[in-house]
Amino acid sequence: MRKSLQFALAAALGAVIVLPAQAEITVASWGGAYTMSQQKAYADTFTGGTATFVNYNGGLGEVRTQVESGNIQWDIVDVLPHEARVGCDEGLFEELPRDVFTPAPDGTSMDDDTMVAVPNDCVVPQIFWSYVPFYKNGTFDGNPAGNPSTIGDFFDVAKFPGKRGIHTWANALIEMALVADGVAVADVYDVMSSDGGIDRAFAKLDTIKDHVVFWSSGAKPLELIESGEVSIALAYNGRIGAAMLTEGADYVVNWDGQVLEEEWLVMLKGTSNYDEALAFLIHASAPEQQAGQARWINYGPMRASGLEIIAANEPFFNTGVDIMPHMPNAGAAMANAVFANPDWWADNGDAISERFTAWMGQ
Amino acid sequence: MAVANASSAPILTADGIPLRVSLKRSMRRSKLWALILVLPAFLFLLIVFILPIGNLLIRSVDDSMVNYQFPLTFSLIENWDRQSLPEEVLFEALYLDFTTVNKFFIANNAGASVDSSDAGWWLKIPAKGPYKNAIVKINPKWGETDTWYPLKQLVDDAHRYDGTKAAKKKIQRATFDLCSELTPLTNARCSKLFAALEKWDGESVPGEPLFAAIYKDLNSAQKIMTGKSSTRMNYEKPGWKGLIRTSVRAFKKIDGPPYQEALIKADKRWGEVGFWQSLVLMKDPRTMGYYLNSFDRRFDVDKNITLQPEERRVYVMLWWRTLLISLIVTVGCLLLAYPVAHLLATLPLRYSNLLMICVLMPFWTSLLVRIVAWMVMLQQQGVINDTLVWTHLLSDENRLPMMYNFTGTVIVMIQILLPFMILPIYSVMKTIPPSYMRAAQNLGASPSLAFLRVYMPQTLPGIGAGVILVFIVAIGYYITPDLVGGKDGKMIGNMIAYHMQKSLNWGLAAAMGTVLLGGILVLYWIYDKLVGIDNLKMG
Repeated sequence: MRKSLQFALAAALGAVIVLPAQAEITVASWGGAYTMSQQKAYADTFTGGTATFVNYNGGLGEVRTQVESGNIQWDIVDVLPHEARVGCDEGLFEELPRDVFTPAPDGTSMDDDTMVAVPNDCVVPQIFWSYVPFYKNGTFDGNPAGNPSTIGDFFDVAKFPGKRGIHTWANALIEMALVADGVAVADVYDVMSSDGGIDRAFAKLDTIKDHVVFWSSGAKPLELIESGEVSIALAYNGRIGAAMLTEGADYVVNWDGQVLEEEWLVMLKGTSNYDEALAFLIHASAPEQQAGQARWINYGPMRASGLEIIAANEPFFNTGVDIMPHMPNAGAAMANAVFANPDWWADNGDAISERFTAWMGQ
Repeated sequence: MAVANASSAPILTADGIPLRVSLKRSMRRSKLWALILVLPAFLFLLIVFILPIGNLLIRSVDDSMVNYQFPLTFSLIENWDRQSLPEEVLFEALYLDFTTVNKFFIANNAGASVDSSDAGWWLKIPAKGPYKNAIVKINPKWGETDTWYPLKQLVDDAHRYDGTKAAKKKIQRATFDLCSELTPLTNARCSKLFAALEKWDGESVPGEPLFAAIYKDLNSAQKIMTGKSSTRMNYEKPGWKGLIRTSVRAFKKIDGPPYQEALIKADKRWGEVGFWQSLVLMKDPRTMGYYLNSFDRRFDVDKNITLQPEERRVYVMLWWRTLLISLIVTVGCLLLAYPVAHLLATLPLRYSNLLMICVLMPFWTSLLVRIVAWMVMLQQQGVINDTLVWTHLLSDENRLPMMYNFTGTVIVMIQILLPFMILPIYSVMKTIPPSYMRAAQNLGASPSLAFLRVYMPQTLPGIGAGVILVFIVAIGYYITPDLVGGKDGKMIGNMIAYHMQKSLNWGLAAAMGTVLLGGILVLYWIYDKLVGIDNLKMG
């Protein structure tokens, strides 16, 4: 008895000493089904160490504090396009060698395989997500004008009655308002940069102002639709997809005029796990893993080769259904879509945000 | 006789030390003990409260980063008339400020204090070397061993940990520390310099490898500084960020004067007077700009205070709304809490205990759960609206909007902050003997008069504590307004959070935080004058 206890103690002690040899990297991401998909597609298949996910609420506030104080808790962060640029400009992220990443099967380098221009050397491609309007099937039964199908219909409360669910910040809303007002998707940012372009967008937003319910967290638009509080809502396409694909919700998504946003992975500057974190980034950005996350959520891989793997292996989603029709960056969804321009938002985001806050409060 | 003798001689303790000395000693010892006991609390206060607030105050007026970035431009911009396009000399200065690292080599670099007539300052270090000559010409101090010695010290310190697990981390940190010695940045890395210093013996005259390393490292540090300043400059005028991003790339191709032409060719926005005018506003290392911004005002080009363009005026409205919401919430809490507290204080113990649990139960429940519960209750398809429609008090089209707006924020905040009002009032009411009311009524007062003249005045300390507590907590609220505020229920706290996390405009966030803190102190002072802080009773 006594001996076995001693043995157990020794074994436990041994385990404690041995464990830290395996490097642990920490990845900050957004939580929910999204992080679950990353856990399954990247972390569970990663052999170079263990990756632990922590949730954060976006923004660079926390990252800036960690890097500038030299007290680094996170190794990798999942960032939005704006943060990907500002953080790299401000030297908060490591600049990564580009030739270590896995090329596409046909030999195309990762940066060329990425479906948008790679803004700097700090970022590693992750996924596309989008702001997109959706409604519950049957909402517009008996409506003289039928079902809404375009972004113009979203802004037309006379023809398509009911409240609209929109988010409490300006991104994507400005673009959508302009497309709804007749601007071609290719010209959206030219109009936004021109005199009176923003006024035009706000004038369009004014037309639905009295019919709007605002949301600020991603789950909310689905609740608003479910409870009937609004008839159409904008939401993150992944949230809608999760409800449709795994919970069997009967929604209709209007891809017309959707606004696509980038999502990148970056490494915090000065992390003591540089090698392991880089290994993880190489692993997570390989075409195989890029495709793999779409097994769990309908965010579009940023690498074209990842998308090809999905298309070739349908039905790809874990429940055994086709996922391609739910991808924001493939097929019909792309027919009339806006790629958000983070550079424009980096210049004008603060001014627009103040104007939007003022607009909401009027 | 013997007694008189004893009293004139010093009284001794058992061990022969005079009593006075011994007393003093033990007093000192207990004082020291008291101090040691207080010390953790004091340090805690200092670290988590006083230092951050000091940091907040500094950040709200600090504009030193941009000044570090543009020493030459800012020293010359005074001579510009601020109306027409600047002269060639200002374009050249700006070009040099962007592309040279000279600023890091000037001792005691305080931005505009650099002497622009100094030829060394204008000297451009050749990008491919040799570096030593040029750097020593800019500042002869760099030719001396003593200047380099503290840097060498940093490297040696890092190596002292060799062989331990922490060694890698220490060396990593040291590369950052080197850069923070040389620049105002804490997130720039000087690895090349670190490697060069490792090879240097610390005594011989510093040679070309050291200068090459420091030049290259400072060049990459400069890139970070440019990025950081561009973030700050974009607050002053939207567009700076993009302008600087394209310029940094394009400036590499410029090989000589005339700079005016070359810069405008690189990006035509350099030909816009507006950008140059906004530079003037960032010229001073201390700025009141953030405070002005938090009241929808700004400096015009002549440093007069003007209003922001109309569509960007948002903060004054938010300040008033925050004040209004806090006042409504405080009054609402008071109206609801007073009778409940009275009931709590007067009911028999077994009932009042039960009631107390009812009061405290929400207090123990997660904030988010309570907020979501209110969403279910108040939304337009929610329980209350459904009930009203079902009872035909309301038609289906006219459901009341009680959530995602001002009303929603007020209702939810009142519920959440109610215990903060009930508890202090209750604790005061508990101490008022019921016999006072009876005595007043015995002496002929009507129940309402007895309440007004006898009972209520005695509960004032509790009311005061509750009011202050609720108001101060309410004014800084941001989670609840964020979730239920919707279009017109957002408060100033939400804007502070936005600038901390999203726009990274920490200066503005700090300014607004300071205004909030100042506002609370002013209200506290008014309260003290009107009611008196010593009348406060928290429990």
